[in-house]
Amino acid sequence: MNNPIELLAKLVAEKRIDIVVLAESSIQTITLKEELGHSTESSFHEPHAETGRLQLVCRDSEFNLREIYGDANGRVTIRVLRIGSHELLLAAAHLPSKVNWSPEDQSTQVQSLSKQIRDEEERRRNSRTILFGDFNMNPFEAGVVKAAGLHAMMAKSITENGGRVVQGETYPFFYNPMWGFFGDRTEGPPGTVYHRHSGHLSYEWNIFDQVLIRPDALPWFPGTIEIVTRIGTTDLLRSNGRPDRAVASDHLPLLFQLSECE
Amino acid sequence: MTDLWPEDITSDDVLGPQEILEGQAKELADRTGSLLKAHVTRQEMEDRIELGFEVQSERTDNRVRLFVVQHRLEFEYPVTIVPPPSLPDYLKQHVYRSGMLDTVKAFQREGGWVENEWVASSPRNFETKLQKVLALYEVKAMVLSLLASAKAADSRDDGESDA
Repeated sequence: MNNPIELLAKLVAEKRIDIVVLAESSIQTITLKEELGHSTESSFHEPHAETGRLQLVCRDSEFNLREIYGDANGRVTIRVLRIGSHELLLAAAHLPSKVNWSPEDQSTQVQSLSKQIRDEEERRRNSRTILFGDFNMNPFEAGVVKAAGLHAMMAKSITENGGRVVQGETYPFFYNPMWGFFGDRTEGPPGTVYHRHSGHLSYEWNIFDQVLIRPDALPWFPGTIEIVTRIGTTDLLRSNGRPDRAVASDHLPLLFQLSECE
Repeated sequence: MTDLWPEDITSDDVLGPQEILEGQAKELADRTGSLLKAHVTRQEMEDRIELGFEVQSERTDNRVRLFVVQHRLEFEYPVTIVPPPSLPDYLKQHVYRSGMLDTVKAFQREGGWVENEWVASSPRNFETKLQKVLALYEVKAMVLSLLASAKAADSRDDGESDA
């Protein structure tokens, strides 16, 4: 079975996924909803959004997930996520690829994303934000780590006091749990994307697909993240352990859980 | 002595890009009866100032960034507009389909100067470019879409209050 939509539908049913977000997908949203509906015997809907490049469908309308902020370039969408009696901000982003953008370009772009998120948090007086997506940057790159960038730290303890002051300006932290997925000492693959660069410096495995959590949103994040490598009997990796784009994608899917906070 | 200075160097109506954008934000609110409001966000980066032109539907509370404008930290001109990317093919009124000859031409093409049509060197020039970006199919479609949602929400609210 090499049909991406069938694979996705199987994954959604198998893992009982409630919210699906796709970037660079060639699947029509109507087909996506139908297939997910068939496989899970429930109905999936597409919450209202003005910008449509990132596809988002969800199982339960109680989540709301209406777009409150979008970038006309379609690379950023911020949604209100209702969990129980609480509202969180769910932001999805697909940042430009390294193919045409230099690290400086990416870093500038991510500063813009960071400002968009901070503005929206301020506007809604809510910093319970989860940001996820394909950043096309590793967790250790300047754009992801620097204060005016995403300011995403590798350890939860660092983020406990909320933010850091640089030159008189306060920059809020994100916690970036994806640091923990590098290499062989954890379960799962060493990254989400494999790429061999022909030059001297090649990381081989990269973690471009990330989920970042603001300290205020941590109570809703039990810590469950999975880089999916297998759906049913279908292996998403080739025999050499690298993503098999012929089966699904050159990126491995990222799955994370949010739960009700007491 | 003959005045050798170009015509657009004058003390009349010399506005920075942010003021010009804010002016257009006000125009949009007036034109849509405040169903849509626009905001200009400003961010200072390492090497440039980025101004985001964002439109917000007051009824649905949805906000969309339509395009950004960038200039150096020290100087407001020249300034460049970064327009939104084009819509997917299935939403375009005209779609270019390349043929075999395009591939041949691409191989034969020599390098050359490419004009950045979105760079403006003066306030007047910036206003011309801004008018052009506001009239882009992608920008108009987004504004009309926001307006339609705002109107729909407005009608729903009216219906609820009448009942």
